Amino acid sequence: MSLFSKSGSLIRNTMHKQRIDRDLSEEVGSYVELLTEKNMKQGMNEEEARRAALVEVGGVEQVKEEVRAGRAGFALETFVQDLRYGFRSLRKKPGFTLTAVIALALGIGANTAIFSVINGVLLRSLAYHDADNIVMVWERSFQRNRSQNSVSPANFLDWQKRSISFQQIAATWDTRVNLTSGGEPEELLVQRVSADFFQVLGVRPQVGRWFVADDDKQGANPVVILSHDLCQGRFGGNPAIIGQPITLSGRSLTVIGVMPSGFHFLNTQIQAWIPLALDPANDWRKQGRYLRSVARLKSGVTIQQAQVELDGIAKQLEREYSDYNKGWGVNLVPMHEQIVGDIRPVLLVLLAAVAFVLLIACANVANLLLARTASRQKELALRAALGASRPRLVRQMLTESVLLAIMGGALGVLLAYWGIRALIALAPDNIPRLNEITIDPRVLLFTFGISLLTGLVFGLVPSLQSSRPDLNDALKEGARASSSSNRVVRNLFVVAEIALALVLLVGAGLMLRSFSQLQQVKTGFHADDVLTMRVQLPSAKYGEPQQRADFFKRAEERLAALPGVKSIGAISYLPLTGLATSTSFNLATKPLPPSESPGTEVRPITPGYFTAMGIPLLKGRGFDERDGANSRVVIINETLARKFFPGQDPIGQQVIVTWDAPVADEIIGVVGDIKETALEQEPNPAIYWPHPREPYPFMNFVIRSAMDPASLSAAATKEIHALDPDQPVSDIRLLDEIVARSIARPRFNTLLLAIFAGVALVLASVGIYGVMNYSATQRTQEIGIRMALGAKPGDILRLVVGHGMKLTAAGIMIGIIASLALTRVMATLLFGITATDLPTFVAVSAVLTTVGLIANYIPARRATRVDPVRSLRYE
Amino acid sequence: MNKREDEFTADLLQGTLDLLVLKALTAQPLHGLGVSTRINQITKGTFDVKPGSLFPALHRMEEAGWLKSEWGESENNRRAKYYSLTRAGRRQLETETQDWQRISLAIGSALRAT
Repeated sequence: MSLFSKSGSLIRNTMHKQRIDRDLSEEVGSYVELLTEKNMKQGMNEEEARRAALVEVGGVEQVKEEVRAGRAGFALETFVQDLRYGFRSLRKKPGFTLTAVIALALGIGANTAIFSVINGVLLRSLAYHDADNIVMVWERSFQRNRSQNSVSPANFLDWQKRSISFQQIAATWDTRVNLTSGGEPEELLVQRVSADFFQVLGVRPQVGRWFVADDDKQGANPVVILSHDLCQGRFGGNPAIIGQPITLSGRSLTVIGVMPSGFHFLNTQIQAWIPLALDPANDWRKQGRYLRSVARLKSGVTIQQAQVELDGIAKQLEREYSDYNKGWGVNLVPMHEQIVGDIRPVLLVLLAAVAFVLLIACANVANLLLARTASRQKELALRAALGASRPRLVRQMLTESVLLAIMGGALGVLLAYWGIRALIALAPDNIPRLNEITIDPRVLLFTFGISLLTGLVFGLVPSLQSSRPDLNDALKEGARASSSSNRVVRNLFVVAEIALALVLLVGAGLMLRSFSQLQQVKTGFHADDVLTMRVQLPSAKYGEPQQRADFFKRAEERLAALPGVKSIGAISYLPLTGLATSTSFNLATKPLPPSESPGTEVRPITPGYFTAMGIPLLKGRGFDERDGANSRVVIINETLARKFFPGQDPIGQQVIVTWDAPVADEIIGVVGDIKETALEQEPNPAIYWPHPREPYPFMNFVIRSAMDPASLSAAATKEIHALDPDQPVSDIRLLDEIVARSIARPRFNTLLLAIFAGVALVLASVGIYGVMNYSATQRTQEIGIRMALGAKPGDILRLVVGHGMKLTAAGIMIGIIASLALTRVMATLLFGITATDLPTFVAVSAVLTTVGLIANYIPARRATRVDPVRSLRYE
Repeated sequence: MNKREDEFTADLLQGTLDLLVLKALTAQPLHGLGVSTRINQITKGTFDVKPGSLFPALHRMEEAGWLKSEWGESENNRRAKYYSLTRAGRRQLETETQDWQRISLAIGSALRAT
């Protein structure tokens, strides 16, 4: 049939549907008449003849239905019909429809929300040009087992010189400067970058130009590129800022560009970029490793090929500078992996969790549908009698369930929209790419897809179950509404719901237990009632070490004198903020070559620091007035003492810290360990120096207060301004907030999983209750007979509850087995417990047993109140 | 239910039924019962096409443009819908006849082979 004539008939059929139908009835009618006539000719009487003709035709409506099914446009026609019919029957049962739609909306909404996070964080490509070719280039320490170590400027320069795999390679280093143009003095986080940085990422400034090689040289005209936010906030977004000078830490720099909004590299807080200007003439191998380097692969070069090449270069460098590079290699990491690598397991666990929620919702709705179709049996039988074939009935019912699912999906998108906003508000700010999470077309497509799938999944079993009604039985008045296979399916759904809910609850339980373990970790200091703030002195104004030492000494004296201040101290980097200075050291008695010497953290502090933090002094003395710029004394932590002076008194021993010049320092004290890096990490060896000995330009004050510490901040800032009115004070925070922030991510994960498990528990208990209630109602007659024959309410209770609890127990058993298999993937997210944590499994099983008991008991008790006489008359 | 058997027969005759209907209509226009009676005659009673298969086939073939239909009067003055072959229908009959002969020849020789 040609396309033309086919579409012609399609239009004709759809337009003149009624006429064609009438025509068809008439045609079949005339067939019966003609056949009757023929039969009469063969000697039957009229009644016989007509009867035989009707039997031969086998049902006028069926014949018509067959003809219709063969016609063009039939599919569309029946679809529209099914849709209309579906809407009508859903509207007739608003209670059922509402319950189902809400359950589905919860499931689909949760899936949409988590998928939109996965889409934004994992799937959407990075905001760099051709991001698949961008790789991070780390140094790898085989000895310290660190695969992503910062990079030495010397090694970076050699990679740049020797490698041929990269189009460009760039180095960056985050630092802080004080901005004094265009308003109040303000501390900025800036990224020092080498010339090719923007080319590697392939992102051009929105206005102005990017850095060229000449900008990145010692003695070049100082230039700066601003972030979009800084340009908007501080300079009113005026493009005329290009070419203007701004003052950063006392130096005047010319603005040459402004980056587009949202551009950042590894650190969203960066507000400006300044050339790194590494001097190749410098002997950088006297310094540590502190750069982060990023490169763009030449087209056609794979990351594996580049890795092989860089391994070779690292080997050369190891030979040439064995003191510095022994045991060091190179590690390339794809940029995307770098950014999202450690969040992926969490997101996948969450995705699995919401998928389970959706499955439970499906089981619930399928059960509702089963119960409903049982009561619709008569209607379906009638339709079958009127000529509807089984596939036709199945399609009709599936249309209805898909309709339900789409409605659930629409509401789900709305829930997800709010959910995502709540999610972003609750999420810790160290989740990468959080600002890129939106409901985009891909998310909508996903939602539409799972809605369709959901509709098919929960609709299939009920529609298959109920589309083969036994016509005679179903049409009989007062027939039993549910078949035994129906009951089996419903029971299976209950078992599945309980099993799924158990897996989710176990997951959430493990996270909760792990989180509470994390919260009980001793930090080693007292975080209550402590205010912290950072002061960074500009090098132009405080170039002399003595100036810096004096400033912090005087600032500390002034702050200590404030009313309400109990004790005060300062340190280079506060614990649990993710920052530290690390280097290597040697025992004076046993020096090792640099590549073999052990690592330690180094922190300059003021004398009051330990007291203000509440860190106990275990041995020896703390720093005081005596320990000035030329002092050669250190205080070590307990870990260093235990590891390197086992069974000896460390006081009076000497260590040589790898720093500017190798000098021996005498240990004068040992203090307690604190959690420096993270609550879940064991402390590293640490060495404290008196601040005048190594006068960092920035220090963090810790102020222990006798009153509400937050109320001190204004007065404390005023004291700093009294010393230097141009000096910004930044990061004013409470110490306990810093501790809480350091576990914000596990808290967030735990919260999300707990919410999903809660939803799952509610859905599952509603589901169990629904099924138990229904089956108790179904058994009213049976129960009535039992009671009439002398069964006590207690017997009935046992009977009904016993049945439900058998299902609950089966669900719990299956759930436990599934959990043992599935929660293993969570192992990396757990702290202090294993994925097979017994208390969690026991508690969760107990919770579900209780829920099952309640959901069974209520309908069972109602069943015992049945009046035997009435129940026997029932139906 | 005999409906199932009916479907079975229709499946068996897929393609063949079309050929028989076309053949039945070569001599003269016929109404539905006429087509079914004629098929019964020309196949010497082997095929008894029931309305459940016949009408869908007639309507499908009409949509395909092989048949055309119009209301007329039967010999006893009853209104009935008469089907007749179109030119496309005659062409279709020719090709299907040739196809059928080729197939039956091939199957025949296949069955005779040892």
